[in-house]
Order: sequence, then structure tokens, then C-alpha cells
Amino acid sequence: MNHLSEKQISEWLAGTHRTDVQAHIQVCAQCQAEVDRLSDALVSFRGTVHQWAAVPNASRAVIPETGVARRFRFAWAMAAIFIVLAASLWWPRLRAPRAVTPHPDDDAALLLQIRTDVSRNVPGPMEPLSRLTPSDSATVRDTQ
Amino acid sequence: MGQLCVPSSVTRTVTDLMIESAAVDVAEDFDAVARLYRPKIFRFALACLRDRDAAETIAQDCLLKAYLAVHRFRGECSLQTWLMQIAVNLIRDYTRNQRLRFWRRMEQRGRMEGFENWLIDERDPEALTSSKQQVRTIWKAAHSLPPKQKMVFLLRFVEDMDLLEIAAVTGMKEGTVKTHLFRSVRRIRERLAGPV
Repeated sequence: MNHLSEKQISEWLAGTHRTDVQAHIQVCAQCQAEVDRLSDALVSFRGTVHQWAAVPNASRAVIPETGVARRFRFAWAMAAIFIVLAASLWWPRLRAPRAVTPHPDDDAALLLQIRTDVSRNVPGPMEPLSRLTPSDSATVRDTQ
Repeated sequence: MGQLCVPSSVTRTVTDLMIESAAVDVAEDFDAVARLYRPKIFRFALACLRDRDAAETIAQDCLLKAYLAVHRFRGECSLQTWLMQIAVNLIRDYTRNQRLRFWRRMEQRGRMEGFENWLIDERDPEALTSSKQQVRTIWKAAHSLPPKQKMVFLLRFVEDMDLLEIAAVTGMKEGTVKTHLFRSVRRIRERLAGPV
């Protein structure tokens, strides 16, 4: 015996009740079981929606939060914390001036400048004043 | 043979009287209408939107619109069909506005976990577990359907409407309703048969 096709079962469940399909369901236990299984599932679905709608504030107050929902929320929270931490660690580095690697020529120039500064008689900022007065040696020569 | 000729003015008057009568009946006892149909409208909106606050708003808006437009109720369809037509239009508008609201969808997703726990079943625990699994699968599958299929599926299997009534509520032809319903049932069957 040919069993009902997928299409015929779907049409039956959708409400198109053809007499030949009905006759087959009455005599074929396998097709009847399949139709009953699906009908029962749809009836259970309807009952669940009706029950859920009938209880005020059901979705927020009564349905317990399952492990999946908790994990989902936890994952979002962890991701947010990670982003904040990463941003707080990387932001100062991005803003700070980059460290310049010393160059041999730069070192030589720096040493030269230090030597020049050290060998000065007067500090750099006071040099203009020293130019206004005669040097020590000249003063000594004049007095002699 | 003399033929009975009814002047069009008389026909119009009779029709107008019928409309007025239907409208007056509804308007006179709108409280009773609201009490009777509000749970149904709310339930359908809740099944479509999965958001209790939104469903409350839809039910409220639907009854308000109906009250304001009660004089236009012609009595050509049942009061339930007329109210559900208004509800379907409000749900469509709402869905269109919410489509891009990511956080709202995420919130709804969180709320829907454990929906199947509302299943009341007096069978043995094993059968109950299996039924819960099926309900969860149908629920998920229903919400993955295209909007028109989903609407038709919920009207048929939550509100228990027949094809003609669904056609009247959604404004589709009966054949189109049948096609949407067939496709939605096929999808649900596939999901029930396949891995969950």
C-alpha cells in the first residue's frame, strides 16, 4: 500500500481534508500515527501559547531564566569588560610619544654639546651678560 | 410577467439601516466587546511579536481604533474578523518599525527561553519532556518563517481559524492562504523531523 506523501500530510494538517486522504488515514496505521503525532504537537503548541498569554506578566516574572540565557548574558558582560580593559590598556600607549632609538650620530652630537656646555665659563643663559663685561684675564692685565 | 423592481435608493436605505444597526449594536456595548475579544487579540499579538508590552499596546490600540471607527463597521464580516483585521495591520506596522532594532530583538530572545514550560500536560514525565521539545521546535520554527507564512500559521494553529476567515483577516485570497499554510506546515514538519 502506498503511504501518504509529505505533501498530502502537510495539506491535511493545513486543513485541506480530501476524502481519499481521509479514507487512507482510517485504514493505514502508520500514516494515522504520523498525522496524530503532528496534530498532537500542534495542539500542544496552541495550549502553550494560550496558557502563556493567560498569565499576566508571565514572560518576565515566572519563566525561570535557563542556563542558556544566563550564559548568553554572561558572555555579553564578559565581552564588554574585556573591551573596556583592552581600551584602557591600549589607549595610553597610543597617545604616548613613541620612544626614539638612539642613533650613533645623535650620541656624538649630544656629547659635543655637553662638552661645549661644560667648558663654558658661564652658563648658557648668562652668556649675553658676560659679553657686556670684560673677561677676567683682560681685567687682570689692565690692573697690572 | 411583472418584475418586482426595487429602486436603488430603497436598497441603499436598507443597507444603510443594516450598517447603522450593526454599528449601534457594537457601539452600545463596546465594553462587552472589549472584554470578549481583548484576550484573543492580545494572545495573537503576543504569539506574533513575543513581547508582552508590545502585545498589550497592540490590543489597546486595536480596541481604540475599533471604537473610533465603529460607525464604519458594516456587519459584512463577523466582529471578530473585523477586529483581527485591525490587529493584523497594527502588528504589520509594528514589525516593520522594529525590524532594525537589534537590542529589542536580543531582549525578546532572552525572554523567550523556557517558553515550553507553559505546556500543561498530565501525561508521564517522559512524554511531557518529548512534548516540550516539540513545542520548543515549533515555536522556533514558527518564528523563522517569512512574515506572511508566520501570520497565517499562527491564525490557523493558535487562533484556530479556518481558511476563509484567515483570508478575510489578512486580505489574501483563499488559495494564497492555503499555499502559505501548506509551506509553513511543511517547514514545521521538516524541523520536527530533523535535528533540533
